Amino acid sequence: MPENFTQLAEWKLTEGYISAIMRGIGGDHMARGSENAQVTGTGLTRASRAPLLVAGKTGSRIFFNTDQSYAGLGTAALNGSGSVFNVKSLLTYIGTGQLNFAGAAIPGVLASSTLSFIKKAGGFYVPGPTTGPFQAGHAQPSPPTIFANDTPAAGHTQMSGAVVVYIWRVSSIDGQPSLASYASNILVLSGQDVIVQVPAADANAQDIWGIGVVKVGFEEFGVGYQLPTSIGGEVKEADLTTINGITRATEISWSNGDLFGADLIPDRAFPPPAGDFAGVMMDTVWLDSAGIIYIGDPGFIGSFPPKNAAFAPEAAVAYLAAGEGVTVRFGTTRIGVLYYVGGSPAIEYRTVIENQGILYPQNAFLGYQGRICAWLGRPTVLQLSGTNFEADFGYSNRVAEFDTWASQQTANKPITGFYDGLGQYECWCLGRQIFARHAPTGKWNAPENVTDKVTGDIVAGVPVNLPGIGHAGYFSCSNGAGALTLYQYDAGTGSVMKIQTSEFSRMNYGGDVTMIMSEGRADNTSHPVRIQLVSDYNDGAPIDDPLEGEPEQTPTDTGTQSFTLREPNAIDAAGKHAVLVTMTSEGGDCGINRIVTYGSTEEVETR
Amino acid sequence: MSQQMLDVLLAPESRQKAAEEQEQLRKVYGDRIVTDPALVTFYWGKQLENSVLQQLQPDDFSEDGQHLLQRLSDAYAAQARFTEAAEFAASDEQKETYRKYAAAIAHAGERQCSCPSVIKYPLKDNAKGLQLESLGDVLRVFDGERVFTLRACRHCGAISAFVNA
Repeated sequence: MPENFTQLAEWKLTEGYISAIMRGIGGDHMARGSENAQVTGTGLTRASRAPLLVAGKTGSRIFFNTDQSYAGLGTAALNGSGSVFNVKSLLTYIGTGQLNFAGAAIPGVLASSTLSFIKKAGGFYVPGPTTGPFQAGHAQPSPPTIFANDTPAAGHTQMSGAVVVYIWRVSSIDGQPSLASYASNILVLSGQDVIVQVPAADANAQDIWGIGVVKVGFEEFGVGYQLPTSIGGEVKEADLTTINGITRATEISWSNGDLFGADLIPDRAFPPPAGDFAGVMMDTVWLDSAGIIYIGDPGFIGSFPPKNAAFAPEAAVAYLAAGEGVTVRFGTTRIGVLYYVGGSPAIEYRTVIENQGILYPQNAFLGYQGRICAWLGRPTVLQLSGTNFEADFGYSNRVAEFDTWASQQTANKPITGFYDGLGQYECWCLGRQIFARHAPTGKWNAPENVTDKVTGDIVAGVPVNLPGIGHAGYFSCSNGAGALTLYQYDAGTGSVMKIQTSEFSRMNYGGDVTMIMSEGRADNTSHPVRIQLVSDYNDGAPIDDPLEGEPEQTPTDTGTQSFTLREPNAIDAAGKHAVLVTMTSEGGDCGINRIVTYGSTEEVETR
Repeated sequence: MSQQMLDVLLAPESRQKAAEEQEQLRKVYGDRIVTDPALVTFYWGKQLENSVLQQLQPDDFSEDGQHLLQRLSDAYAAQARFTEAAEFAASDEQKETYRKYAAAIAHAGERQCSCPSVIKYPLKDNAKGLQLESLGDVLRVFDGERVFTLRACRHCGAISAFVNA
């Protein structure tokens, strides 16, 4: 044992990865040079399991959680934008790109500026005449033609006086009416009832006609009331018949008392305008058209009275439904919120953060416990400070690499965020690199380099509910051609983990590093554990593992263990050194718990 | 988090702030909102046309294909392109109706019948009866340039079109 032999440094690596820190001041973190090492809920670091290819599924360019699963828009060749959501059990969408659901393309269904929907049948979304896709809303119909009927059928009322009739289209799929027609021709009845002849139904899922009338004697100057359904106020297209030689007809009659308390005929069912984004909050659908936000009538998917519009100061880049009654709207320079207030219009908008925004929809996502994460020049989380909304830039101040990211992102290589609920990681990706933050502890994983594990750049991500397991982080990769490949985060067959400790620095002290003790966990007995010494910041030329190539370098057992002692006898390294450990995992529990260096110390004379 | 956000947003002072912002923005963007149902329907029809054309395959005679052609007819009708709407309409009655509308628009401003301009309906309790203009509104449509009101004669059913000011 040499003179002055002592413990030099000890690292437990409890602080995660920190690169935005001065070298030489120590710390229990993973330093630059570390790779594919993760912080876990146990406080131990673990080798990344690497991405797992989700076989048989296709990815998207943007993702949405909907209908207990995930949907997306876009292909490798064509980017996606817009919204996909579920309302009234209908998969509803707007924007651009191929519509995908649960990792499969819905054949022939492309999003456009038209708010559209497709109905699920037999557990699948398959296009067809009865399933769609259909367009939200209906065109106002022509008025009906009405005829006096001298011989009312049983159960009908004889009526006397002037009347008119209104009609409107209704779809039983979404319950959506059209605006009511203009009034029919006028009839002056005398002990008669009315045969109503309706025009052709539309092919936009209409299968019902709504019927409205005036009080008897009020003809077209009267108020239009919805005829109660109990007396024929709705007739199915299939139930129309020929009566007295009149085709496409139904017979109706009413008394003025029947109209007591009846609703007025629909006068707010304006079909939706062209839009870029849409969504639903509680019972109300909204649609954003270049900054004009049309608020739908509660309960309807295609009723957008123009007077219900709200305004945002710029076009949107993305929307995030942040929980019941709150949806965050991201522009390039402003962040706002749509929130549910009830009544009509049921939704209001307010800008909450000025001079901050995102460039691409993938830049924002819902993170741990539903918090809102956004790339605003670097990763942030939005939070409330009293009654003010603000972005917490301290969220990512441990990672210096983010400083260089903004200039590298493009529409085809966006900075992509997603949440992995299994490991509780908020993941930030650029190209084929992932920085993940273990949300409960606020500590960062070492950067994950997935270059040799994926087919292209990461373009979108989404948490996916795996029944009985939890919400896994899925992401898609694009190489600009072919299909988008889908991967599950941190579920693969292992990676090559590198952990470089912080610098142990005694400045004016020299001495030798004579011994490195380490404890860790191995998940295999096939791959060596390489332990090298980085002396005097010389990252490019670490001192070789003294056991390099020796059988003792490879664990003989799996699980927690002390790795074979290294005796590097690194001359003059004791004053300033770090340790670099390289382990190859096979997808199990593999990591480093503790590293200790020993050696001699000598004071260096300074003048 | 979302509940906390909602609580803050629903506070009276926050809603006041939102209302003030909306007032400002409405001044700037308010005139971009289309409020005329004829124009709203026109733009909706244009979207529907684009959407259908995206899905339509050439020579598709299947049920799906026929359904798409009906939707295309709806789309053209919403844009006051009644000649094209008639071409793809599913029923002869609908084709006939659209042709009448198209003819009326082609002769906009001209009444398509020579019936009296007033129609009288006898009423039991009013010796004068009910006296109305003989043309009743059927539809207001926009063709991308002009808004037309289609009106039906209460005497003979002829459809005429008139350009709205």
